[in-house]
Amino acid sequence: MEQVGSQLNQPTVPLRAALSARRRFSRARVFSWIVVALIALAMAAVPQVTTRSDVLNLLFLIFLFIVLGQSWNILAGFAGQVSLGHAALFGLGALTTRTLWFGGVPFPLAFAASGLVPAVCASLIGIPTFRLRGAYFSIGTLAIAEVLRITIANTLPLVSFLPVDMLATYELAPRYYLALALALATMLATYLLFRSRYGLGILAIREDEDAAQATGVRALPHKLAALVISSFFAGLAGSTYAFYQVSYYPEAPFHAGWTFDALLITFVGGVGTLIGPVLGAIFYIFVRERLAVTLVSLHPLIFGILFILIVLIFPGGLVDIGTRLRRAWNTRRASHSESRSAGK
Amino acid sequence: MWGLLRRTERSSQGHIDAAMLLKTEQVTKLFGGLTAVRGVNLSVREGEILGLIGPNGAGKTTMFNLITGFYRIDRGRIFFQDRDITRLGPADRCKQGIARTFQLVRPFQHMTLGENVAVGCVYGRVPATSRHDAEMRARAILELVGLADQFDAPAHNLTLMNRKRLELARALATQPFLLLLDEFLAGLNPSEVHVALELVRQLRASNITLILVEHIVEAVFGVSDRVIVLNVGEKIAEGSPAQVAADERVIDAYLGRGLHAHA
Repeated sequence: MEQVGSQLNQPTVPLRAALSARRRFSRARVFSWIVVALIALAMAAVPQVTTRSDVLNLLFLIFLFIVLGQSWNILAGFAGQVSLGHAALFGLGALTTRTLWFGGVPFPLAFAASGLVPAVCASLIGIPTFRLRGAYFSIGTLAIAEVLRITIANTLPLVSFLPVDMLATYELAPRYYLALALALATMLATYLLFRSRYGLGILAIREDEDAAQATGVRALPHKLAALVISSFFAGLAGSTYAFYQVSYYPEAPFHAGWTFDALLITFVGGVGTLIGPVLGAIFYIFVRERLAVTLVSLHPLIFGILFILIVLIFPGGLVDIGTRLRRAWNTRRASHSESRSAGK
Repeated sequence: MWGLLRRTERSSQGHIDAAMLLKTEQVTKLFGGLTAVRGVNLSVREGEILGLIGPNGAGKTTMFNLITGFYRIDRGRIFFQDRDITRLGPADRCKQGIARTFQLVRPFQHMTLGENVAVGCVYGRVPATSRHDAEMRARAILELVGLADQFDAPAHNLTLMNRKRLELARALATQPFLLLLDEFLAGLNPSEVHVALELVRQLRASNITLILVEHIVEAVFGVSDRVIVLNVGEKIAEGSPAQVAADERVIDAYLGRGLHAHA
């Protein structure tokens, strides 16, 4: 077998073509890493340059919704398990932070716990829930999340708690940096996951569970892995929300609206793509804040129409714009070099 | 080229019965009140091509799903390389060295051809050590089935013949000892059938053990060493293609007098 293995390892394509393809690929990769680093640095510099709270709040919300959208995208877009219970994970994260942090636990510890609690709860719930497939899974997760929301609403007091000391010493910058760091970490984790061998199995499960199993991919562990990672980041997003909001109704982060925000952002940006939730979050927050100011109560209606238009024009989401531009550029370049070589 | 897939380790394992690869004992499957497969004993030796034929509803595909682990067995046991695999799921059987193709091909639509095959390289019997390793192996296997030039193409706009090639490549990527082809020729035009049969013969040349389920009886008789005939869930005949074609019960149940006269 060793012999066979080593023979199969040999590149059989013309070596030069393979090498040049690799080189072009890695140059593009270095370039995109530089772009990512520059954007991260620029974002990190914003609170040093300005103290305008509207700017910081807007960016904070974008970061928060990137995490919310991407965490949903890991489970629904990449693993193909369209959960409608995402708000439960976000809410559990927020609730954990609220309980621990207000109870005197240092925030970093509460933050870490807020990732773990939803991850553990989700894996326990996931084992039975993953027996459901397709729409039944979606309905099941929605039901569980709603049960949790109603329970929280009934058991925890409706009056929101006012932690006076925390509000008196409230600062926006730490919230901003936390959300920025979390958004970057979520992006990096997603990127690494889907470049790994394990990511390949998760994608195969999304495409065709039976065919994946026939190819050696165990379905349940892969779905659970996607769920746990998704829950972890959704919980951290919930914690960030609790840290930012401080005073709110305990039920609020459990509201199904968080699930649909995540879904909308991911679909508008590009479901199952790394960059989709980023584009979706930027678009969503800008449009929402803009419309909320000018149209107030009409804004969900306008947003609904915009959403439908985008999905109709760009079925793959906003990332489609980039793909189409690149394709157009490539054909132009190809025809260009063709005419040049014809001229020779 | 196809020699790449030839295995050498198996013969060195030194079993008491090294030649026996797969054995089913009194396998039975019920769907509610219907007995889809009843007490079927079947065995496959290493390097052999076994044809599984029978009229519609004979239990061929059920048998396939029992061997590959997609159905749970109600009674009986299945042994692979002398190990009892009766309770293993499909993914674990694949890791043991049993691969299959589907009658209606099922490529991973939104993945590239390279990624499709790389899944098999990562999760198969001999797991790839890295994504890069998997991609290199996937490229070699796509070359074998004649799809190397479409390594980066998405799987959703292939012709049927090429989807069959991809299905085969993905199964081969798991480096199986035993490969089950479910109606591999179905839906192909005569010239494509010719190409597909050539692929099957190449598999045989590389010493992979095959079980074929097929409706085109002539094709099965042409490539199989041994044929098993199922009828309403039971084995009614077993033997060389010539023996089976002459069997009275097979003629009555399936082949009919016309084909017998030709044969």
